[in-house]
Amino acid sequence: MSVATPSAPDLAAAPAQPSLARRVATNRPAIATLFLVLLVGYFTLRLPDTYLTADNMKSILTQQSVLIVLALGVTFVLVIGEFDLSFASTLGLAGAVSILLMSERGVSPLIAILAALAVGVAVGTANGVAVAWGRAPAFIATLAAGSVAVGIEQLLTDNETIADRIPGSYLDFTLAEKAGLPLSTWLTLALVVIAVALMSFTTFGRRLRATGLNPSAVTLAGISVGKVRLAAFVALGLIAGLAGVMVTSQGGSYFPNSGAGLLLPPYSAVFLGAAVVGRGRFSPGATVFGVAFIALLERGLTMLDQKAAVIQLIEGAVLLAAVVLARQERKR
Amino acid sequence: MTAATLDAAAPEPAEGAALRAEGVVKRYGDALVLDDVAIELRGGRVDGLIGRNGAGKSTLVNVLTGRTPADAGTIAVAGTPLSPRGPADALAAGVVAVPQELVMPLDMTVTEVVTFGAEPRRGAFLARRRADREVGELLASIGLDVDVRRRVSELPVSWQRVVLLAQALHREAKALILDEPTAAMNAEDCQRVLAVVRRLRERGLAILYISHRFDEVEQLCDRVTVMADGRVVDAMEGDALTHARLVQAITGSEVELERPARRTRGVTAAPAVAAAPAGAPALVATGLRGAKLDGVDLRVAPGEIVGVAGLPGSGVEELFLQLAGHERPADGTVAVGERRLTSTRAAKRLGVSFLPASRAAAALTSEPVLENLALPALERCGRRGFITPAATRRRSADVVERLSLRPVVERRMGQLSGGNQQRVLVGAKLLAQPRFLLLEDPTVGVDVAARAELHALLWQLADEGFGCLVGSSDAEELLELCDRVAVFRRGRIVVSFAAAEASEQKLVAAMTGDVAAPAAHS
Repeated sequence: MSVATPSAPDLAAAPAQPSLARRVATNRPAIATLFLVLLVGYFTLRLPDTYLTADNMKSILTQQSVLIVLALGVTFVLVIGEFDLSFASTLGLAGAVSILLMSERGVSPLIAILAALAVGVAVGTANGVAVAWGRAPAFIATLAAGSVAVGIEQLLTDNETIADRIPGSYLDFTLAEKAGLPLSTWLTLALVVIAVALMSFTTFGRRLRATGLNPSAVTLAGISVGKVRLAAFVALGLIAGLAGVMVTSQGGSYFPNSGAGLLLPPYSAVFLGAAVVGRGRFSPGATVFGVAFIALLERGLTMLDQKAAVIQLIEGAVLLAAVVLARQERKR
Repeated sequence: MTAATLDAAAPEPAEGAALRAEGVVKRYGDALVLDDVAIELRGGRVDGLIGRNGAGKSTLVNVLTGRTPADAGTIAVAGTPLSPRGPADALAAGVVAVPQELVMPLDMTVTEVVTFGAEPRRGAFLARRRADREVGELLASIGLDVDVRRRVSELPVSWQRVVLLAQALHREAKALILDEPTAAMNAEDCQRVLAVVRRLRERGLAILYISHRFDEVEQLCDRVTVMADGRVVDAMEGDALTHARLVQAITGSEVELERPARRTRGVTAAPAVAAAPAGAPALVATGLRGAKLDGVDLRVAPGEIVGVAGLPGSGVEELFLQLAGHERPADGTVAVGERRLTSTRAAKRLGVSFLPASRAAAALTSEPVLENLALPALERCGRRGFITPAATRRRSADVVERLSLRPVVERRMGQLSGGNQQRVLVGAKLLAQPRFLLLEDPTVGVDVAARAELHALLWQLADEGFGCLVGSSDAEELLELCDRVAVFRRGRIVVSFAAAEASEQKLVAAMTGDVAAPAAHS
């Protein structure tokens, strides 16, 4: 038996490709671009001389650098299907450490920056280990880690503003322009490129995505899911450390509670981007869209002299609508 | 038997074994799960592995793939000893197992899934074009013409299975272990997968094929190993490999079946739960169709225990869902007497109660038995939305008494044995006063004594006028328990026996595909 292989039923008859119309309607980057064009177009009509100018755009970009960077970091953790509530606190602690080292110990800005990054990596590692091997729910584990970070920050700084003896070169990181933009903004743009490349063009990115989609498939492929999860949390920690440097460099000082108000906006941006561009899937590209949309909207409304409360209301409504609509489409 | 005589057509006659395991022993506590098992796979040959549930097949696969360490024994891949410390070691040596469930990131593209964990790279970056091209060629070579950039979630199940086979091939597997690759497929999809497996054999892979479907095993395998109770009890090849022999190997050669005392009618203890009056209508299914069902007629009369024998994927699961009103049939009707059953609400009203196979899904394991009892009948236990433990206790007293649950009623569900949990869940259903009980695999993971008790309970209920439908793949149990057994295969009832006339061999033969079934179109 078995020698004469019966003529194998051929495996043809592929399910049909989606129609052209459907592919156009589901071309997410095109739709996202259209959204941005409409948004910018509207504000340009309302504010013909001031909105769509190089200066204004540049100002938006530098002002929102911290948000972009944090949103990219959050994307990594959301891609693996986890959550992080600690990064805003990490940011505060990293900034405090960096400023304290310069102000009280007189270390050079470079060392201070490296120390801030190390703080971020440390918190990220704690989160990653707790989630990946401690099997703690990320929501609570990161909340706890954030609480610890805030506690340390307050012990170190006595909850007071610190602005003495900060070297000018530390401020130059976000203030001094090179080739038209501050160094920190160039770094932000570089991070966007790196994040996109990492996610789409490396095995690391693919492992992150697969871990979010189906961890057991990753294990079956002989890859440690724990290490992948750890890497994502460390990436966000590192980025939060960097954001701490950016925030303190912009102010030239440490001020208490600097991370407050920075926890939710990155999530808004990431979810908005995922809803509009990624059909609910998180990716750095989608995140950049989300940040851009929110930043352009916010600036436009501000320039139209809307109250902060109104801006907040409109942003919330937009986010809710986008997320709900994206879910409907996924259900199909 | 040498490789040369076995398959002269193989392009490279394999010299020596691709994978050889000898003297494998595995214990879990006191239980000896694998007892001195030896198996040998050769390139260009498909080895079948059959055995009942619990025979040790899965444990053997886990040992071979490094997921479970063996207590003793040796494994060698192409002559090189392998002592895997984890799945990664076995993978690196070329031993790849494709699990029964389709475990893959469904949202990824075909290329991404096939190359996952072994992506073609250029320096630090992925070589995406090269990967697409390679995967396209690979799939074409095994006969699957598909756009490699499509997401696997958009493909039919049989193609997804083939994508997993391609993944193994891409990893340069030497030995491929397939666990029930066709479990949930219809005939056409099965043939598609089998065709690919044959092509993999032609390419010189050593394949271990685990299946309950003996018709497939007979068609495909060059040699079959039979396991029972953790040992290899039989092996056959060539002309000896026939369906009859496979059935015999798995049921044991003793045709004589020791039947425990059949149910005795008429010894009804005072019925504490309302029984159906004489002449009550039966639960009748007519011409049911659905994703896997292909025209099913079934009748469960009050006072009758009907068995449905079928392998996983044969459509029994869907039958239960449709009978219980969880799924609407694509065609056909379910009715009790004159009244149609179209939803779970209707099922409840008509007294049709469904106990699914997954106990874990139905039980609140961290809560006391009493809470679990009350859950399906909350409105009967409480009054106007308010509920007190005292009221629950009062209402459930009858059921607790008759199922002898008194000793365990205050304990937490998770502390009970599988058998007791099952009794609690049956009790919970009874509290809602059904007339028909649909039980899917009621004795999986239940020890022998508890199983007997459960059977006794069902007999008693039948005597009181309940109609029971019991689904299982365990022929022996159905024969013991039921009045009548209908055998399911590929969405149809292929044959139906009165339990007294049937034998385990007849039943297994029909389930695995010996009876010339109307469904045997290919």
